[in-house]
Amino acid sequence: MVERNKTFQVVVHGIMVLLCLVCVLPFLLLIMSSFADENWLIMNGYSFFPAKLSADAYQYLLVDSSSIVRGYMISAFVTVAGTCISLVMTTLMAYPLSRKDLPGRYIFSFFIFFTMLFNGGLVPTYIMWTQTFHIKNTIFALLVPNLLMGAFYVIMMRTYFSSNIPDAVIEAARIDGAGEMRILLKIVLPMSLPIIATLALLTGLGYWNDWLNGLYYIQNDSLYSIQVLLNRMLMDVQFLMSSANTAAAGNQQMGPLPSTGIKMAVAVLGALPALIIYPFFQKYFVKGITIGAVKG
Amino acid sequence: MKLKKIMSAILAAAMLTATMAACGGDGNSSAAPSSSTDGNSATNTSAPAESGSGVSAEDLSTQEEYTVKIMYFGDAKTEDTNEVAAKLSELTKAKYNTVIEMVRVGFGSYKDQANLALNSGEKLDVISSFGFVPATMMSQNQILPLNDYLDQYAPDTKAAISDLDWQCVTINGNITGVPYNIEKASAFGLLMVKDVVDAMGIDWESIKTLKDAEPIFEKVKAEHPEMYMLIADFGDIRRPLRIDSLCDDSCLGVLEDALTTEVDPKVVNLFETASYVDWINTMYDFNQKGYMQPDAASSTESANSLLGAGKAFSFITNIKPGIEAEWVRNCGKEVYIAPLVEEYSTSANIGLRWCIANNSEKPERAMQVINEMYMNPDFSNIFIYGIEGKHWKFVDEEQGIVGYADGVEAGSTGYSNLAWGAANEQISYVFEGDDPDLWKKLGEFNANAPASVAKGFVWDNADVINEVTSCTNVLNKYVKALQSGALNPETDLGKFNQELRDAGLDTIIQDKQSKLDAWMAENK
Repeated sequence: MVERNKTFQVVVHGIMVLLCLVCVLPFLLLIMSSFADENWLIMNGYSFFPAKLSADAYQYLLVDSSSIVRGYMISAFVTVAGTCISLVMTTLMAYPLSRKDLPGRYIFSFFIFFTMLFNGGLVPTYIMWTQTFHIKNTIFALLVPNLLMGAFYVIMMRTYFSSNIPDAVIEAARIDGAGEMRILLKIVLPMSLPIIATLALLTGLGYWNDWLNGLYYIQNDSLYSIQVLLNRMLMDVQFLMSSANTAAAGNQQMGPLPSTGIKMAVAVLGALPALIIYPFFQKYFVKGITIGAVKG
Repeated sequence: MKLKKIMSAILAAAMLTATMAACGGDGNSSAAPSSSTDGNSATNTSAPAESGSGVSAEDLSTQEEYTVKIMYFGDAKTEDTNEVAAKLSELTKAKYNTVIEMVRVGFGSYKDQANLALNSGEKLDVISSFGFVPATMMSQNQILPLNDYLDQYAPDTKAAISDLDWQCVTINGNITGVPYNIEKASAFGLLMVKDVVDAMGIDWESIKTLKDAEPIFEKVKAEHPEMYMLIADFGDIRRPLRIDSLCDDSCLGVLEDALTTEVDPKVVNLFETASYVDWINTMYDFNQKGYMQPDAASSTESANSLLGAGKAFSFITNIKPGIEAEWVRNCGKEVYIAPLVEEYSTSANIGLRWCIANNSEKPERAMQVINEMYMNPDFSNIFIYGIEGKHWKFVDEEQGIVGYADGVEAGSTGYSNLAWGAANEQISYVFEGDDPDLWKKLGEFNANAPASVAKGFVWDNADVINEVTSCTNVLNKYVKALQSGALNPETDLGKFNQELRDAGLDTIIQDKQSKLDAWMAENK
């Protein structure tokens, strides 16, 4: 039995190690190539151990070009502001829905659930945001569309409330004389830290990684977030790779494109903050994701 | 207990495979906004004549004020673009009482953003067809036919462009746009890095066909084993063939020789023609001998950076006047170019054009601006190069040569200049490093290129759209790999052609042939 256990452990650990490498190695390669000398990179291809190192790409991005630094600031602001607003709104929606004494809760739930299945499609959505709300080329374009309040998050939070906060606790608070607001702030929220942290992480990542809003609603380069900048660089290259487009452009030269090293460096810079924040959220994340499972 | 362990081991293995599989995604799902345009047709009321401006040319400046919004491509900072637009407005304000608003969008996102702007009914007047198929724009009511506006509001432009060229931008009788005055002919050559050629004393002028390059590749390869002898540009290899695609970028059914003198030219399957087979056999041969860049078909490197880094020796390039200087500017190396295919022109060479958006409230005012873009050198210079002193300065005022302003360079300018991106580069200044007579030579190049018999014929794929879609899928599977020599023509070319036939290639060719015959009967 002991012997068997050993083989089992070795096999499973082996697989897990492989799995880890599959995740980590590409990122390592990315970091190393962002530090490789440009010409060396083109001559010798990507390598984990570039012979000629250089920080030119970072020098260019962080010192010579203002757009990356500004992109960082925009991304940071949007992420923080968006996550805060989104959490407040989601909580205020999800908590009442979790209370069994809310009149018409099934109707409200249905409205929320409905948006998970159907949406207006790109062009109508675009028309609504640009022509009714006029958010094109404003910071709201990065905050509001698609990201502000997700139906899925509301339902996730409602489920957490109704399965983890016993009615008896709320009842006891009421008997002790607490009002609705006090119950929410002093009783329910402190008991719901795991789900709040989970949603904060998910929305925060959503905001940090978002580039679609930037692509559709932003034409002003002073509002480009870091992901929009990165995406633009990649799209330019992809565009050139489809030969039909090259033909359409009459084989013209498109002017200077970012070099490989710079593309790598932007990718590293874009991924870095998420990478740093993630470990701190991880313990909540695991707890939050298992909601609904039987608790031991 | 045992079962549980086995299950967890299987689960772990499954996760691993899933991770691997996720990496193999084909990336085809990139955001392509579906273009549903039905809602727009209501605004399509084209009644230019009675809009109150049927007045003589002198008092156009007393028209009521109107803002014309122009959208085109290239990297630029918003503040700089606004400044340029303000400068352009000074010109148009005096002449037409028109204010210019300008938006520049990067190449990669241009089509997405332009599509949204066109489909959403947003304010937009003048738009470049870059990345679009003009026939589709027209059939989806995204742009207006220019027929009536041209005669009345842009007679100069109308006269400046040849009838044959107008024919090339006309679809079902509708003029889709004003064609860019860039090079209007194709020619191909083999580009070679000058310092290697000189150092080894290679007789590059002896190259007349691609096959002639073989002994040279062999010699250079022996000397420079680290170099790729022949490379692709972002995975693309230009076809050094003299075909007429009949305005179909995917080349499903072509005239094998664009300059054929037959009265009833035959539409044939490009991928079975002798010249094509001969060419890909050469490519396969090069690949077998190790001259080709490995994985050329999926390369994400530009030819510029490979040549610039000294990793590449040669590249099949298009040729036009000033092309050598362009390469020097882009890759920093001097080059020799041995011509492989002499210049010739087809309908497909008249590709890019300026269109008027269906959203335009006053298309006649947009037309006046396009006229200005095409005819007025002052307007064109600002449009292309930006603001004097901020973006550019004179290097030689007499000859009209300009360069970047002090402290500005290609990477840091707030308004990147793309002469070819404007309507008519040939009336503008010449950029430093280019031949001072560049535009004159370009004009001659265009004028002297012999035209295909079918020039002026524009094939509309509307009747066989399903076949075109299935054939395009087959093309995506084979073409790049075949043309970079990765597939053996002996075994795979037959398979490829069979799949094309199964996908309906013959129907497409028949459709093209019958439309071409009808066109020939009418026009020749």
